[in-house]
Amino acid sequence: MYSFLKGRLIVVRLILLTAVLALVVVGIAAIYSVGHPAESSPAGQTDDLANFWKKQVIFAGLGVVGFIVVNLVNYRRFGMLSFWIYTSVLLLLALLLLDKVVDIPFVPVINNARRWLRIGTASRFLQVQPSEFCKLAFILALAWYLRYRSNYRSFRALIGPFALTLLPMVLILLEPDLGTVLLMMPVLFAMLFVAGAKVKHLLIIVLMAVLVSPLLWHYMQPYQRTRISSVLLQSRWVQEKVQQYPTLGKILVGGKFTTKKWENDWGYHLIRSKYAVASGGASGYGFRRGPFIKYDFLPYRQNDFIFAAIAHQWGFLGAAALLGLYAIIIACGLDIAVHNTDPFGRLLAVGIVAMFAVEVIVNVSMTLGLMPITGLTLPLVSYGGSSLLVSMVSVGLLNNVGRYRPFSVARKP
Amino acid sequence: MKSVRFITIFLLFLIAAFLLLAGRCFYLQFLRNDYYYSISTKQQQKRTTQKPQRGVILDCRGRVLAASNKIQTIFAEPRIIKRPKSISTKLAPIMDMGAHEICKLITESKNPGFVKIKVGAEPNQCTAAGKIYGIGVQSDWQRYYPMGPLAAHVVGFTSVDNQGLGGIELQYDKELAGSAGQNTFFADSLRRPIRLKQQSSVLSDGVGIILTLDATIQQFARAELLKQYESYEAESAVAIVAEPATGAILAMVSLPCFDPNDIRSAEPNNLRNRAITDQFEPGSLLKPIAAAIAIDAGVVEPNEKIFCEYGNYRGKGFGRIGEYGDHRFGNLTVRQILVRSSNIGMAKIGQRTGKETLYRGLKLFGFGQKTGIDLPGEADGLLWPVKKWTGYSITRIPFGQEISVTAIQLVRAFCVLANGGRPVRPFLVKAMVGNDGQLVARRSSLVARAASHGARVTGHESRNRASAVGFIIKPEVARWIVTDALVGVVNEGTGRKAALEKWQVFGKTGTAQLAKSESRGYSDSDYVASFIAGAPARNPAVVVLVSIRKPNIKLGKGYTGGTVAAPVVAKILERTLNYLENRGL
Repeated sequence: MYSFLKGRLIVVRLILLTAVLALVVVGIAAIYSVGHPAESSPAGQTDDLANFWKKQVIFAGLGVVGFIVVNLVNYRRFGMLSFWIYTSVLLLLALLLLDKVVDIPFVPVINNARRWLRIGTASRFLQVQPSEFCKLAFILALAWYLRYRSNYRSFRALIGPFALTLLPMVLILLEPDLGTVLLMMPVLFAMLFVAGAKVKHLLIIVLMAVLVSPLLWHYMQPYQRTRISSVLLQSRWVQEKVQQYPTLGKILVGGKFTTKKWENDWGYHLIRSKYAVASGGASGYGFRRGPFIKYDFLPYRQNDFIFAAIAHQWGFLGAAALLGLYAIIIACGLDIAVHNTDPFGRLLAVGIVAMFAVEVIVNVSMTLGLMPITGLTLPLVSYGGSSLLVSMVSVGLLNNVGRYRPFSVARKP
Repeated sequence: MKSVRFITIFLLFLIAAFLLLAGRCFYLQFLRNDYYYSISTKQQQKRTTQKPQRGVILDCRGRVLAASNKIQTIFAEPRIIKRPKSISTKLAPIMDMGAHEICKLITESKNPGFVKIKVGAEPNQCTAAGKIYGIGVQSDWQRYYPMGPLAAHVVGFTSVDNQGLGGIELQYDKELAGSAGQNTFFADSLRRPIRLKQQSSVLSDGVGIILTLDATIQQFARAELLKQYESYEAESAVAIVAEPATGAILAMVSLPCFDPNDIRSAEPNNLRNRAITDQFEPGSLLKPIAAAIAIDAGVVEPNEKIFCEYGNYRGKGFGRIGEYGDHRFGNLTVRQILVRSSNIGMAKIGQRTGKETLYRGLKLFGFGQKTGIDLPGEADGLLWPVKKWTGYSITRIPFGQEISVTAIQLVRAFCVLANGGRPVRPFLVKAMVGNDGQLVARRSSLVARAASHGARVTGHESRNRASAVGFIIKPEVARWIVTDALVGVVNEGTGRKAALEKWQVFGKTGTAQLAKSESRGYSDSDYVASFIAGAPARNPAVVVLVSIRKPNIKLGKGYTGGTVAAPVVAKILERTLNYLENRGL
């Protein structure tokens, strides 16, 4: 039963596991709190929120099972299977997109997006999000592919890894699920960087991306533009300039900038989440307390903006502690990577760490108004079954990488 | 190992990113906490205002001149309506409107929180409609003037948001308005109130105001004036009925008028109350006052004969003075001067009186300053200080030139005469009554307040007046002017058309030429025809002034005060006195 604990680096892995479980518990508590304010809120506002925590507990249990299951075999086995895992996830993604052409009964359209596969009847069902699993499948496949030096040392060789990344990216982009897409590029870069790809090559690619970005901006939907420009528009100075020069407004928001539109539409989530965080102060309002918990001021406070809910309730101390827990996971993950000399294991560990790090940084940054708002959730904490399951499996893989020595070396006498 | 170095670099990069995040948290939660805290708490609050009912305005017998009615507005809140069609179908039979029409209102509304469906809905419609989700009922106060234009200039009017903009409505706006109830609520994200946080002020309705005005007398005055005003195609006309003993205004009419219920279509120029805002040279109307001042000062005797120069009085420094109608009077007594309205006689009386005495006397009678009547926008009139007087002044002012007055000032001056020389102040508000029927303020306290206000406005002179004399002129002089001279005017002089069988009327005509607007001197065709009278002469119950500006001289019906204004005064006097007698007053 406890075989997953056996192996090397037991201390590091125990610390990792403790931090992970702590985060899951914090997440459940936070999801519970937003659905159950201490002071009763007006009827009908939190009905949906009230039951989310139960589902999250179930998925946490499933996550623990997943954690144990991936520890049953040596992680290298997953590497060997990675191509098949990757292909099957791609097929699932393709299936979602097929719904655009032919109506598939188990692909629901929610918020104009096809991200979920629905299993079960109309009233009781389980929804899974293939794009979440795709993140892990992609890391596995990439790590497996990059285990040979020849696969990334030359500029031309980089085509392979990029193709491996762009293929699911395009599929997910079409769902659409922008958040998950944005995650993949940084993970690719981190893995290439650690694998030892030439920094010069990576910089050239970044430069190319920068040069192409105005074109990209041109093809963006207005709502996507305002998401990105809202980071700049937080500043009153920028707002004044935009009002002064209509051309600038046209570029940034695709029309005339008005304060009303900013407050009620473009900057709505940003302003609200910032208020929620800032009004928390040093130690916060306390568990299940505070206006942003009680009232429906903060949208998506059980998933995308759960960090704001936590910072609101537990203040700076809570926010810093949460970031500390993630830092522990990252440190432990990288420690595991350092101690495993097997290129696949190391890259797998780095990929998983990069995935967590990017998710945390992007999610917290958007909550604090440092980055545009994308649909990235806070791993292990945000409400969401697939996300939690994948995160737990990822941690399981990290643990797995930590357990094994790359080569069987004779024991010291 | 190279790879390990890259992992270390990667780790350092991530640590930097995390520190940045923590720093941002620190910035928001420590450094800017106060700012964001105050904003977010403000955002969670909503203030609502309960509008008070504006006080009523009643005439002296309790008839309603202005009142506020509750009107119910049925509105929809489009942002919470998910299926406009079904709600419109439900609402349509209640409202007696087309479902299609309602649906259009809801879906095409620009304001997500409020769209008017019907203003002025019936109570049963309100109860039925209020039960539908997304539909609400809002109460508003609407000002209503049942008597329409009857006393429009006195009562005034209000803006759409119930703010007094004229007349009593403006003068007593604060009292009438009451105070709104201010409540602060906690609000949810859709700005809907959830729970009362604090009540910053309690609702209190406005007080009611009872005027001295009598709607019946007002109606007499208005009807008679309107008839004459129309038949003479005059530019404007004013009538005032006052009670000399107290200064209470029983009627005040200004033509052309407006309907306070439909203020938007009113001609802006007609909104002003000409009885208190329009200044004119009083002409002969001032003669009894100047004569009274002279007699009171002892410079002439009532029966003293004054030579009237056969209608042509010239002298160094004051030019030439003629008579109205080119009369050539010889020796006239003071009484005769008034009865026949001799300009030359008055000029001589003025010369005898002297500048200082005349000026002081006119000032005491209230010329050149506001009467202090409780209406907004009163004009001062114009009485030059002595040092600005020219050689002409002392000979012209006694017959009403080089001085300009308002109608209300004349009424006040004649009330003083009729009142035996005792000062009076015209006023309109008799009492203020709270909504529970409790008396809030009585006339006496209002007088005190108005007096202190008046003293501030007019400076030390009015204070001197108040403290120095109980009588402006000696009672016997006032009585002689009224019962002898002014009765003579009506019985044998220029005011014969004002005579009544039942009561002894006293009065004085006035036909003032209007100054030319383009050049010097007076116009030959523009007159102000006035007549001021009172009755009964022994114990005057009312004083009536009628002043008609620019009667159309081309009609050939005459233009003098005796012809144009006196008959109106007679009718008003007769009807008013009959009415007061029948009421036992």
